[in-house]
Amino acid sequence: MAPHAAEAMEGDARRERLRLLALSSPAFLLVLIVLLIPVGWLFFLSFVDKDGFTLSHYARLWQNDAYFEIFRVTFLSSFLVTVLTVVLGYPLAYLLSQLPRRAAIIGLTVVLLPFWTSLLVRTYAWLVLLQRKGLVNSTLMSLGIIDEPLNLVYNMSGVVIGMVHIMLPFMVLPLYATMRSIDPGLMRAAISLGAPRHKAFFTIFAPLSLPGVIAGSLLVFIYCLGFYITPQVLGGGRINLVSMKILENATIYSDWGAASALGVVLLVVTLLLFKAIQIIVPVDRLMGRS
Amino acid sequence: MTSDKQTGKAGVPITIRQLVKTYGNYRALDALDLDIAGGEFLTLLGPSGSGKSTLLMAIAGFIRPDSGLLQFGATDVTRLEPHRRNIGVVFQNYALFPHMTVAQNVAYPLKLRNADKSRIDERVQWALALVKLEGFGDRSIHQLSGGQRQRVALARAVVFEPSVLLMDEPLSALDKKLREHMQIEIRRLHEKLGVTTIYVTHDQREALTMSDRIAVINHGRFAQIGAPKALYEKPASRFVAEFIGDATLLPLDAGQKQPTFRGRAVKTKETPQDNASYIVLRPEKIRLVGKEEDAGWNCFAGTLDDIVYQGESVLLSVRLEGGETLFLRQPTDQQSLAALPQRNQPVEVGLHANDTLIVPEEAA
Repeated sequence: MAPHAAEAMEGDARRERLRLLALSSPAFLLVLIVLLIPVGWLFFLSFVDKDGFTLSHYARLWQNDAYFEIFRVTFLSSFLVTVLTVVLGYPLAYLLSQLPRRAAIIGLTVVLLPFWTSLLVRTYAWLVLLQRKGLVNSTLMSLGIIDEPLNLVYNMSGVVIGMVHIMLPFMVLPLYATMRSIDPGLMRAAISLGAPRHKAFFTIFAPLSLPGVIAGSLLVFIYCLGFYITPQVLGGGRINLVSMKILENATIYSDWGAASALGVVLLVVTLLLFKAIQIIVPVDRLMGRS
Repeated sequence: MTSDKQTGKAGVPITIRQLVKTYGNYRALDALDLDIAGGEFLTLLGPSGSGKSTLLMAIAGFIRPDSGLLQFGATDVTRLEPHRRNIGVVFQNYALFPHMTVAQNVAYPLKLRNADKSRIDERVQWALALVKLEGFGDRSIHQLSGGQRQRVALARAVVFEPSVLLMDEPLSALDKKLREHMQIEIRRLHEKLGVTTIYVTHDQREALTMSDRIAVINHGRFAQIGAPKALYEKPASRFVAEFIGDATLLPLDAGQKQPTFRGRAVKTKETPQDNASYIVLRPEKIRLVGKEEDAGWNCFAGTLDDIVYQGESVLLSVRLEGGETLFLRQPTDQQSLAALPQRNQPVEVGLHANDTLIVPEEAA
C-alpha cells in the first residue's frame, strides 16, 4: 500500500475514535458531575471540621459502640435480604428460563410489574398487611394457626419482608439472563452420560448459573446497604441503619462531617467486600472466556 | 470393513419395530422397522425434517415414541429413562461442559458410575489417547479449536464403554478439510472399539465414506437401507437416486412394455421392474460420444450449454432437445480439455447399457 494511503487510513481510524469519544461524553460528564465530584466532596468533608483537618469524625465512629451496632444491623439485614431473594428468586428464574420464550417474557413482565407502583406505596401496603390487626395476622388467627398476633412489623422481620419484596426483581433479572444463556443441550448431554435429572442439575446447571447468583447478590446486597425508605417505614424507628444515621447527622444535627464519615466507611467496607468476593469466587473463569 | 474387529467387545445389536412418533397430525416416525447388527456403523441419511434426528433422539431416550419397540440386544429399552441406557451421544454442538477442564469432561460419566480415582485417571488417559489429545487434560474448553472440541466430545462419549454410540451431525460445524479428516478418524475409532454406532447426517458423501450401511430416511419412513455402493449403484426409487449423488432423471414414455425414451428403446443390462419410470444419468457415468457410436450405448442428442472448470474436473451442461439439462464430468488432462467442443455446438451424450439405471417413482 502506498504510504499516503496508510496515513489516510490511520487518520480515519483516529477520527472514528474521537467521534466515539464525543458520543459517549455526555454520559462521562454525567458520571463526573453526579458521582465523582460529590463523592470527592464527601470524602473531603469527612476529614475537616471548622478548625481544618481532623480525624475526629472517624474517631467518634470507632469509639461509639452504637455505631458498631448500626453497621452490624445494616449488614445483617442486607445479608438476610440477599439470602432470601436468592432462595425465592432462584426457583422462579429457573422456571422462567425453562419456559418457551413468549411465556417467559409474560412471566418477566409480571415480575417487573411492581416497578410501576411507587416504592412508598408498596412499603405502606406492607405496613397494612403486616401490622397487628393486618391481613396476615387476622388470616393466620382465623385459621387457628396462631392465637396471638405475630410481631411482623416495626422490627427486623418487617424490614426484611418489605426489602425482600422490593429487591426480588433485582435478583430475578440477572439470574434469568444467566440461566437463559445456559445451553439446554448440556443437560441433555449430562443425562446421556448417565446422570439422573437432579444430578445433572446440581453438577451442570447450578455451577453454570452461579455467575447470575453472584451478580444478583451483589446488586441486592449493595442496594440494601443504602436502603432508606422501606426500612424506615417498616422498622418504625426501632431498626437503625447506616442510611438513617447519615440522614440524622446531616439534617437534624447539620453535622456534615459525621454524615460524610459514615458514608465513606460504608463505601469502603462495601468495596472491600466486593473485592473479597471477586477473589473467593473466580467469576471470570466460571463465565468462561469464549 | 465390518469383519476383523481385533480389539473391543462385540457391539450390541439394535432392533426397532414399528416405531411411531407423531406431533399432532404429523408423523415424524412412521412405523419404522430396522435391525442393526452388533458393531455395525449405520448412518441415518435424509434431508432436514426427514425424521432422522427424531429417530436418533428416540434411540437415545430423549423422545418417547407413541408406540413400537426398541431393543438393545435382548433388552427392551422402549420406556427406559435416557440416563439408564448406557449410550454415548456426540451432539452437533459438542455440548461440552464449559466449567470443567478437558479431563473433567471426559471423567464426568465415570464419576457418575462411581469408578474409583485411579480407574478414572486410567480411562481418561486412554480416551484422550484414543482421540489423540494426550496432554490436553488440563486445558479449558475455551482454549480448544472446533476440531479438538469434537475429539473431546468423542472421548467423553466412549470413555465409559457404552453399548451404543450415537452421533448427531457431529462434523457439520467443521470446515471441509477437517471434516474429511475427522470422517476417517471416526471410522478408525469405530473399528478399534467395535461399538454399534448410529450416525446422523444430511451429507450423502459423508454417509458414503463412513458407513457399513446407510438408511435413507424421508418423511419419517425408510426410503432404502443398504450398503453405500448398493445405494449409489442401485437406488430403489427416484428419491434415493436424486438424494445420493448428483443425477438428472429423465421420464420414460408412459404405457410402453419395454422402456423407451421419446420413442427410442432404452438399452439396459438387466430387465427393469414393471413400474420403472425414470432413467438415471449421473455426471460421471455419461460422456460425449460420436454419432451412434456403438450398439451398447444409449444416446441423447443436445446442445452444449455451458462449461464450468472446477479444478479436478470440468462440468458440462447439455440441453436436450426436449429442454431437459444433463450434467457430465470430464477429466482435466490436456487431451480431454483440448477435445472439448465449443459452446452452443450440437453434441451427443452417451450412457452405456451397463451403467443404465432405471428407477420407479416409489420403491416397490
